[in-house]
Amino acid sequence: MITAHQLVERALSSGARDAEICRDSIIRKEVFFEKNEIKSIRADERTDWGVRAFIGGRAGFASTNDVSMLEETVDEAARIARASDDDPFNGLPASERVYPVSGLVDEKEVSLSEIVSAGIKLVETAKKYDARISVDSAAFSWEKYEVEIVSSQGIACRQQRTMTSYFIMGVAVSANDVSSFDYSENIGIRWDQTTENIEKDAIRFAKAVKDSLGARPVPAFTGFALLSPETSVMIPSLINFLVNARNVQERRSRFAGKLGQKIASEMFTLIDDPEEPETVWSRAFDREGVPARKMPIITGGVLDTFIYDTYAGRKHGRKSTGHASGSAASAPSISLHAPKLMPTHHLSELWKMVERGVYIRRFSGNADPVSGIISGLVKGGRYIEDGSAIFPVTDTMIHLNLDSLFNGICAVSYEKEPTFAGCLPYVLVQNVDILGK
Amino acid sequence: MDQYLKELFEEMIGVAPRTGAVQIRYHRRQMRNVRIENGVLKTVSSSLVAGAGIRVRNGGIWGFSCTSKISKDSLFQALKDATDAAHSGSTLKASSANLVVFPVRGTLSVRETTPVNTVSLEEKINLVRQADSIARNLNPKIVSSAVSYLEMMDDKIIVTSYGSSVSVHDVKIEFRVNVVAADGNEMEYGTASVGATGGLGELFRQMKPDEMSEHAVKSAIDKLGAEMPSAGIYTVVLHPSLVGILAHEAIGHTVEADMVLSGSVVRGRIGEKLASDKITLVDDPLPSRDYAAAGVLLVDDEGNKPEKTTIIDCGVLKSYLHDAETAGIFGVHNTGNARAYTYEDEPLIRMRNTYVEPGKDSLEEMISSTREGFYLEGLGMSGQADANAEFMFGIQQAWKIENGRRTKPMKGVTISGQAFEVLSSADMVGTDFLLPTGAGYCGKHQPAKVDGGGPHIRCRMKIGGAL
Repeated sequence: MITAHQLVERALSSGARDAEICRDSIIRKEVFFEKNEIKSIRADERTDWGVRAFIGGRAGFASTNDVSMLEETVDEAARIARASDDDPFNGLPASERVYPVSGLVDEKEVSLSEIVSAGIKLVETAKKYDARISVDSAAFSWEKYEVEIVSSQGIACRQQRTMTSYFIMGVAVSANDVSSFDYSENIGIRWDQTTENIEKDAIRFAKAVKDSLGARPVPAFTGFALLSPETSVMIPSLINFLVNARNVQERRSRFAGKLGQKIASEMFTLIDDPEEPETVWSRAFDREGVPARKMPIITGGVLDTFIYDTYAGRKHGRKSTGHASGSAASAPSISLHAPKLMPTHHLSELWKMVERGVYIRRFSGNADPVSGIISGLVKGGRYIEDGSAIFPVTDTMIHLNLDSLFNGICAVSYEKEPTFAGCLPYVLVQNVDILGK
Repeated sequence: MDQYLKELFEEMIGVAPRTGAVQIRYHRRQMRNVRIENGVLKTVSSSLVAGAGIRVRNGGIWGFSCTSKISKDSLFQALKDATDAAHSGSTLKASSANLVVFPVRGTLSVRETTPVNTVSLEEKINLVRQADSIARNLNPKIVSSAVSYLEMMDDKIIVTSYGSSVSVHDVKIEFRVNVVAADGNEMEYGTASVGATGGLGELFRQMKPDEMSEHAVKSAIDKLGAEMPSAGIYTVVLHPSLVGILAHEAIGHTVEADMVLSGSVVRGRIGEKLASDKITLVDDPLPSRDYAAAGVLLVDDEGNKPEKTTIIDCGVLKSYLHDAETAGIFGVHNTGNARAYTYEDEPLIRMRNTYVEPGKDSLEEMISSTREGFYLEGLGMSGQADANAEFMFGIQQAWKIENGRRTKPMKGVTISGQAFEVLSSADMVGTDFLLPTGAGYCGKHQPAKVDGGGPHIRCRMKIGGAL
């Protein structure tokens, strides 16, 4: 088998001045459920190689999963570089010492039968909770992942990670009523720790859909919006776009020119923490092999930094912050790794603060970071008065803009739930337009 | 290669256990992507993904395995893994319906005018560069531009134990222009995109690159300084782009038979009147009005023949969308909707080109007979619909209709409602026809290239906005 170092050498002999090979490999086992039953069981593995070749300021990228095509892929990246424009900011980062993150690998080898059993437990627990629960789909999977980056600038790093994850989604169906669609998910490094939450998560899903039967719209008012962790995903997603240095440089970000300025409520502090042990969002290095480090992004509502890869860093005359992202199958882009919203209150206190508002289990709508308009439907929501959930809501929209979202944050819970975008809290936002029928 | 693999796959099927069905699908995808931002060439990339996905059915359970190594040993190992996986779950399913199949044999290819492999990389870069240059220079308020081109060449060989043996060549192609306009603190996004099956001739059949740049710029500039609507229920005239989104997202997903079995809102309602009698809604693998629609499907990924399917006929629900298994469960024809995005994905029930058939009204009549309402075009940043057909979509471009005239542009418009209620309110259906959503993808566990549209439609729905 040809090595990544040999492929770098091949790229250099094809005329590239610099080259980088990124290889990622995944071994995966999964059971998939559809319409309340097992649909399929799978086991497979895959390896991708991504090649970046640079000829002066010209860059080319090619990728493949076909081991018999590796040398052609390297040559293709060099060929593309020759056809590309000369851009002085193109290039590879210099090598830096990378410190490993501990606890990213569970040594347990999980069998297909264990995965099937865990998946059955997830689905059966939800179905037993209430006869009206209908599971549209669910999956239980385990994977072992390895990434390796080698470059002509001396970078040579490798990291492994295991991941156990599952989701369950569906509706509750009664005589003339179909509930709002909802889901529950979990994700973790260790099989034992993740699977101990199966029953809790299955019941959380089942309760969410059952409780949204008989929903009705609320009248129009301005009040509080209590965002679930699944809905809070919107906040780091918007921040991710706005602090991305490429979006700042290309004048797509509203945060351009606002470093050091107050852009949110004092209650809003967001850090990116890829160094935390034992989380699936953690990593020792980014897609370019640059160390990924814990970094404040917004502190007490003040914008601390933008995030950079090597290209964007050079364009701003600085180093990468280690935020290159993506897989071997694509050229690097920029992203936060493990966003964390810092807590201010307990969840029970958030509920007590709500004189009148809605709890938003899921948000279905537009959150446009360019225009700043956020508008969409409340899904699986509850109407709240004086800190208590009164009835499930349907046909109800919320409307606000970026400034009112960020400045309206009045509390962030200590309680968090794992989502695929990070482990996120409940967030309370004030002065939100809530529009019923 | 094709013949060798077909014969090898036949040999594998010959030795597979005779417990149910076996599907072997080789899929090779070559992609190329060019992206220019603000005049600077940011991405030129190419990727090759190839491998074989193998499904074995035993006791109603599908076992699946895939491999990127196309050697006899690796393929037989994948067959064994899929067989073992199916066997491990074979006692867990209460019942197992027979598969309903319509196997395809032969060699198929989509129509390509100016095939992508006859156009050089430099020419493709220049095409993107020119569109970007036009977009940046049309209006001084345009502060950012990004133009991208993507081609996806697929070659598949599908052999099944129930008689399919087919090679298919398919090409999907996309072009997008995105701009940001700014005026003081105000920023607005504008976009134009096209997608097709075929070559560059098919890609630009509806709009040329320079027209796309103009369209994207105008949609962003129009929104600068525009008002937001007051929330309420209004009469709206929907452009075919939104008819396609409504047909796909809000109706189409509810009639996918796997969703129906899970309890979607249309379960048990075949034969019921669910929409205005002016509405006939179709999912079509090869539309006769537009052979280059992005959702063209010559053979489905279970090796079966895809059928044109009338979902709603003059307001009455007629059919769900099926794969081989759900057709067996419901005891109906297989509509050939099983699709997989790559070799490592299992086929799922997915739409193809979903549209409303044209009616008898003109766009001019729709607008001139509307006293107060909105004309809406294009999907905004996102949209979503549920199994109960509740939907919410952001709108790219909106204009107020006042006293029978399309007047000022609006911004920040969202629409929501229950799709069948909205289609029941449709009182005018246009004579025109367009499938304009082909640059997009459907997401249901895995992406799928789809298209959608129809004529303009007038109906009533909820518009979101400020209090």
